[in-house]
Amino acid sequence: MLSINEHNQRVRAFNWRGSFLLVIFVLACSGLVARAYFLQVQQKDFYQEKAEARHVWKEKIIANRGNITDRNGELIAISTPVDSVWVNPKVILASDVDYKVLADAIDRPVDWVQRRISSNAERDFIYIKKHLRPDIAQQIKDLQIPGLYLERDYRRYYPAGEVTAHVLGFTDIDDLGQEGLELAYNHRLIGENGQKQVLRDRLGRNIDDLDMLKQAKPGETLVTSLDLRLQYLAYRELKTAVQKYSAVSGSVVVLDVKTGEVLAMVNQPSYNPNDRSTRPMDKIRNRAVLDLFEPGSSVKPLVAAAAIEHGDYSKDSVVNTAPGYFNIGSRTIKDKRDLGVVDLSTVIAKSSNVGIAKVSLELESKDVWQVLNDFGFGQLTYSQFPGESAGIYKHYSNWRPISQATMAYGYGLSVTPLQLAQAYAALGNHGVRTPINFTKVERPDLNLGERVLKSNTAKEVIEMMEAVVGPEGTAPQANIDGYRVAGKTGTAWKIIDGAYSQERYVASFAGLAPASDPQVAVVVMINDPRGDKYYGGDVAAPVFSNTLAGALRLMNIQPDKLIDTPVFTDDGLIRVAQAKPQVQVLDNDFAGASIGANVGANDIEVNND
Amino acid sequence: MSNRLWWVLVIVLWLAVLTSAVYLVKVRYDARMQFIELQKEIKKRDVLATEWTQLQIEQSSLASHARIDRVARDQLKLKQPNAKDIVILHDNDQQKKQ
Repeated sequence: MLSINEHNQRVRAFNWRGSFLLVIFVLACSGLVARAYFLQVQQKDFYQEKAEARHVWKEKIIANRGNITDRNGELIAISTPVDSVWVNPKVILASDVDYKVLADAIDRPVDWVQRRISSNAERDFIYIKKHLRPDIAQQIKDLQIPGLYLERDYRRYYPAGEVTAHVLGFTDIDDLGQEGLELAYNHRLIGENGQKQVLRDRLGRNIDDLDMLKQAKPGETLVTSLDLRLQYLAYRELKTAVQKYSAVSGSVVVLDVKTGEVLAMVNQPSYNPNDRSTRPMDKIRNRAVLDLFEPGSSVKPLVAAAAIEHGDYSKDSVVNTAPGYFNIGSRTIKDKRDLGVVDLSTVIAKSSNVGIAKVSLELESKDVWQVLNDFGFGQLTYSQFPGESAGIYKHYSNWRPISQATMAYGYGLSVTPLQLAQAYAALGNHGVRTPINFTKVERPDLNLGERVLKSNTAKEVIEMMEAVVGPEGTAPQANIDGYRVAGKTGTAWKIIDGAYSQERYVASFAGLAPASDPQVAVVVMINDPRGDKYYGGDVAAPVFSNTLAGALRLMNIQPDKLIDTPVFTDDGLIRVAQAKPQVQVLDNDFAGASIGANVGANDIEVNND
Repeated sequence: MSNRLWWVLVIVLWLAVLTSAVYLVKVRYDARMQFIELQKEIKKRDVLATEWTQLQIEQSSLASHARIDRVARDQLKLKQPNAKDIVILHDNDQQKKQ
């Protein structure tokens, strides 16, 4: 036991060392507290921001581009998902990544990969492979290379390939329409991307959804007016003819007479829109809407219509074409032979230049000009197709007498195949011209058109055109068994190096059926057939006939030229109706052109037989 | 007596805090698990949507008119009947059309 004094002495000595330590301790603690305060309170925003930058992420929700279908719902354009591979170079450089494995996965040389990563060392994001098939991309992701991620994207695929290529157009790398209907209806097809805020972990995986900032809006499906079956048929017929007659190019347009819908529109040459590596500039134009040609004789029925409407003409009116030529100014207008005195119907059936020129000169230039203008010449069809041409059609105040004459047989003005088809559709629609539509018309009963001719005038012109495909006409090959067909051939000289070449032609045929109540109008234009045949009646008429026959059958349109034939059955004699064959039935040895398999890019695999 | 009650309260509250803490962990864990489940289902949906697109493309390809045409003519040797082989019957009750 210690004394009180000894005890106090000891305590005081202990307190001196203790309090020293206590002071050190307190100082250290307050240092920590001060630091904590500094970090937690004052620099809070800075560090919070840094943390969020690494963990909170605004993720894009990709919206699908709408599909495009034909009028029956058949797919003609669809967006298919593809994945692009991207890396974070900083992470790659920070981890020990085997460049060989990475290079093999994306099918690139190792030094390319190394260069790409090292030259972008300061970035967080670079693409190293774009637009892979999702299952292949997943294999790359499964390699578990740090800093490697996939980005989902969508790419356009066109199942019908070259057949619908011109009408649909195509999209660019950002999936925005560039040409054709993809461009015209881009605002409807394009969806709206959404956005959500997510929380990510160290490896970049989503661990929580924080907030839906914006819902994604998918694009609308576009239902076009096209009938894919007719499109294929027209394409095959056109391709066959262009190859057979060694032509440079060609177009076919099929219109619904009553609604103005484009049932088919094809061109040659065509291309594969699924192959993104090439876009051959000479093949991607939709010539049916963009390219002009001088229509030649297919204008004659329209001038005859003007004569009946505004002159005092009828199809029986007499026209003197003797002696087979006549002079106007310094020029001579010639027919192939002297047809003598004929009626207007024969002028059309035999395609007399002299006849129609004389008729045209009898009329007021204003009236001739107006009728053709009302038919759509010199105007846009307002189909909304990008790049559509209005053609070249001078106002009558700029006409000289020779112009009024030559225009009657189709020289001195330029039209697109679509404009010509529109004019013939107006004839078929009892003289009412309807606007051209590339989308399916849902309310065909709402007749939105403007009257160009009296209904009787149109009827008379159609009757005259029926003779063209008759035995005395210029195009017996345009006939279709069982149907009354009306139309007109055109064989026009081309302008080569500024002058008309008498050796190079544009062959065309424009017509409609059934003549009793027209429903379908077809225009065929074959540019520069270089073989031995070049007349519209030889080169274009067969395409017209086969295409229109298919259209009438597919659309279930009643034949209007049937012959009653007696047939003996077990129940006795019954009378049936049959189509009487007018022309030699084309033999069934099919020599049609083949249409390619349409698979372009290697990334999209489709099982063909 | 009040002292004892006070101690009981402390123990009870202390246990409550402990339970609530453990329960919080459990709930957070469950939420995370469910989120992972949700992500799995979303991924499954995406895979199916991709497959649907590819099936549609495959169908358009197999049913393309060019292919059917080729198969019909070359393999099945089908032919289109001539117009003279087609007979159209009148409906006797209807007026004959023009």
